[in-house]
Amino acid sequence: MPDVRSAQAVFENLEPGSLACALVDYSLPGANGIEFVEWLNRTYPTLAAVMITASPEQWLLERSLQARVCAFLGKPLGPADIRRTVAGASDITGQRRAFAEMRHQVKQAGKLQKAMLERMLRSGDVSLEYRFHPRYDGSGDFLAYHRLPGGRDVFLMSDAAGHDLHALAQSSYFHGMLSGMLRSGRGLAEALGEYNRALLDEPAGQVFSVSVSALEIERGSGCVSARNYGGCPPVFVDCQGWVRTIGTRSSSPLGWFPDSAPTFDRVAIPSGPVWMWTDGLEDLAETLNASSLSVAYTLLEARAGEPPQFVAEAQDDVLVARIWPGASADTTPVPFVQPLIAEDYGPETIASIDRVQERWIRSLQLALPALSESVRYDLVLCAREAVLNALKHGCASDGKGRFQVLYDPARELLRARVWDPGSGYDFDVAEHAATDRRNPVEDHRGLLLMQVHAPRVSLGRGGAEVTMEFPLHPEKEMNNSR
Amino acid sequence: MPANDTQTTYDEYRKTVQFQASGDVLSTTADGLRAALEDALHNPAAQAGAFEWFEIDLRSAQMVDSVGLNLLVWLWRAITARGGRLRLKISSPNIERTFRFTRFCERVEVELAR
Repeated sequence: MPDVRSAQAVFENLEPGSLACALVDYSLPGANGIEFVEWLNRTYPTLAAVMITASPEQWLLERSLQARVCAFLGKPLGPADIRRTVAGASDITGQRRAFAEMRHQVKQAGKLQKAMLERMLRSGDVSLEYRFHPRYDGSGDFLAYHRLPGGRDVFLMSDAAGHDLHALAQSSYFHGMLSGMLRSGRGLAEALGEYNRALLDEPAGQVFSVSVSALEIERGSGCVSARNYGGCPPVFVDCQGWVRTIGTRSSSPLGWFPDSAPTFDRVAIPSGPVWMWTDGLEDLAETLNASSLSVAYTLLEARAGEPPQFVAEAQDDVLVARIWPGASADTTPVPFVQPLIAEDYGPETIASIDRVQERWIRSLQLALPALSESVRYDLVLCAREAVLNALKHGCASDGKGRFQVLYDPARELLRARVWDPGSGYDFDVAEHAATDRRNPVEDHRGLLLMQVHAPRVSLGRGGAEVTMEFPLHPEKEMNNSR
Repeated sequence: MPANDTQTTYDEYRKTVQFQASGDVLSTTADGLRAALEDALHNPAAQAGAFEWFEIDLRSAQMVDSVGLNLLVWLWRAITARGGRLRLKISSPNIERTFRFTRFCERVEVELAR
């Protein structure tokens, strides 16, 4: 199409930013105006085009609209029509350019935010991994690192309300202020309290809030502590092998109340990592009908820059980190046990156990997609039996039972643990199993099923604590034992 | 309340009562299934001497838990008390393992088929 090429050539000698709009005649010699407008859209997407035609037929109007033509001029052309149409098209070009510039700026801000996050987290002498998946280019989520006097490392995971530019600005302001206060010698609690007061001083009628989870590593005392203002409390595996949070969730974000007090907890530095995430991860887990821990694990195990497909389902920014409080940046982390599920249930869960079980299955599928169906079945069946047993017999007085699944990559096994607050009971499982073999029994069959489907079962406190281990490759284990 | 998606038929030639179950056999579904099985056992075809086999089709089940297994043990008792034998048709290898691990398959005939 030589004529289109020659029309294109016109643009080679012009600065596209100086053009207000393009008036395109449909009947170009040897070509048509629609094709030229489509070329314009690809090459100068902000430039508005007006189509000039002597025969404005329906099909032409439809094709032109599809090609983003913003107005028509019918022949013969009148000067007043041309002036009015050109003015309108120029306005559209101006709006498109402003919008494109804004998008560019937002992208730049998002890139800067990601770069700042990376630079800040790599500046410390602490080993950590993180994944950051803002819903849009900019995010209200951030994780800041500060080295304080006395060998204390502080991680501040924050989530400014919203996931838009406003949230990004709030987040930057928060971390800027906190950074200044901490560097000038203020204590963490004092600095957070001061920021709370600053938020409450905002103009009446507006509420700015930031959820914060602050993890402080005190190497001198060998402890880690967490202050939580409406955020998700950090998670770790204690020396007994139980998944625990440092502090609880029951607190308000900064900016809500003058007397906002965090939940606070302090524990010995764990041998493994501490996990932190923002509530966007929990929302995503809810959407996926999976546990937050399994989603955290899956995100952290994915290669950086190659997020799992399910991230596209996130409705909020997602930020997750795995921090090794006991390890410096240049040490190789020791093998650790990865929690995949940690949930507490009350007796009301008995009726909804099928739905809960679906979440276990989904969590295991997400975190360990290569897990064989038979191992998953064994774990889920045994977990169902143990959890129902705990809820029926160990949680009679409104207590909560605890269910956890941990993945031990070094030993290639999954460990399921169930705990209830009851006192357990005196029961000889082996004797019961022998009776069942002689003549099938109709009671306590749950325990018998666990004994046969879980390769290793140990009972503590009269059955109020159950630990079951499921090798990922039972056939390998059988071969080794031969 | 009997499960409403079950069906009982009688194969006179094979002297077999055929009971079609639906879904998993679990703590949450066992009561309905037990009621439906009790209905089936009231059928004249399921009385002592009228049948040789009671066949329960569990091919749509993907899981049988302890309460479900208790139900099947109860059914086995009821059937053997009438001089009959119980056949379980299943499609899940995992359920087959449960029957094998618990040695229930030594009491009943298990037919694993897709």
